[in-house]
Amino acid sequence: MAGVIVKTPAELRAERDELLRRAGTGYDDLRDRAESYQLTASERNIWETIRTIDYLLGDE
Amino acid sequence: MSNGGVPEQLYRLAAEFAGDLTRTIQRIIPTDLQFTALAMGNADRASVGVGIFTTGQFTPLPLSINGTHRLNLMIKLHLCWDSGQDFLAVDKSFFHVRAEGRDDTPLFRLEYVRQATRDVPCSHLQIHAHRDELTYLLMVADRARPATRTRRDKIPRVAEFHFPQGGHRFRPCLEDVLHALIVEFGVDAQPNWRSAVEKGREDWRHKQIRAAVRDAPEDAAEVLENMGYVVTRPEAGPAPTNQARMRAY
Repeated sequence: MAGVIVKTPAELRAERDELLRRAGTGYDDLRDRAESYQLTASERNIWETIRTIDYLLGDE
Repeated sequence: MSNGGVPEQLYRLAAEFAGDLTRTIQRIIPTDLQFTALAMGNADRASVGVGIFTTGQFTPLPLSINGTHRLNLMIKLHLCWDSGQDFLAVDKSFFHVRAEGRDDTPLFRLEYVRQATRDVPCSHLQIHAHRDELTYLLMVADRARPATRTRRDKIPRVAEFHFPQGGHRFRPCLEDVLHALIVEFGVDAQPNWRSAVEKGREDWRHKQIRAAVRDAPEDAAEVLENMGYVVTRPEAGPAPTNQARMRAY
């Protein structure tokens, strides 16, 4: 059954930080490379997740 | 009662949305992957992200051609309350198609933005693919497809890919095409082009809504009743849905 994952804002921020750490770069660099389509497949997944986290946090 | 700070109704609607999407995809594509709703606990605001969420990340749906993984479809939706705070509305949707094992550039993107700007259509298709990538995939597809569309001994052309555009009722109108040409290419236009385009678009949509109601009158009756209208069905019984129109590609 499809699920719902509920996170607190603090948990989302922590996950966002962890994703950036895993990407090995800062947000600005990741964003710039995302916008010019220069990401690897795993970086693209990280970027898409960060975009949605930012939407949930109201930081988009 | 809430689930981790998410109101019960929102939790239920998010689960239903993800479940419906999972069933839709699994009826069409051979996959076990499921859609998950990621929600933030906040009683004041509904914001939900829905996608294929594996190992803590949104990941695309792999698509194969003749059993070989050739494409990746990123399906992701951002949801919010609709204006009545009764249903979840799509705030943004992202359908991105990429070739597997190639660079990050999508072949094309179909996106929807609820709060679009004046000169970006709320529903839009952006094509990135270089001709080579699309023709390569079309050639791979030809080998997998039945004879009806086989182009043996002919190099397929990008122009042969038909992008769906909303069927009979929800297709773009001429005003949409002209609007795009004016804002994207700077085509010369009348000084009041914008109000003319908007008026034409509105007239078109009124006509299409009337036609859509004729296609599915019971849907229209239910919505009107939910809005407080009193709807009287015909004595002969509710008019049938025009299923052929509703199912046409």
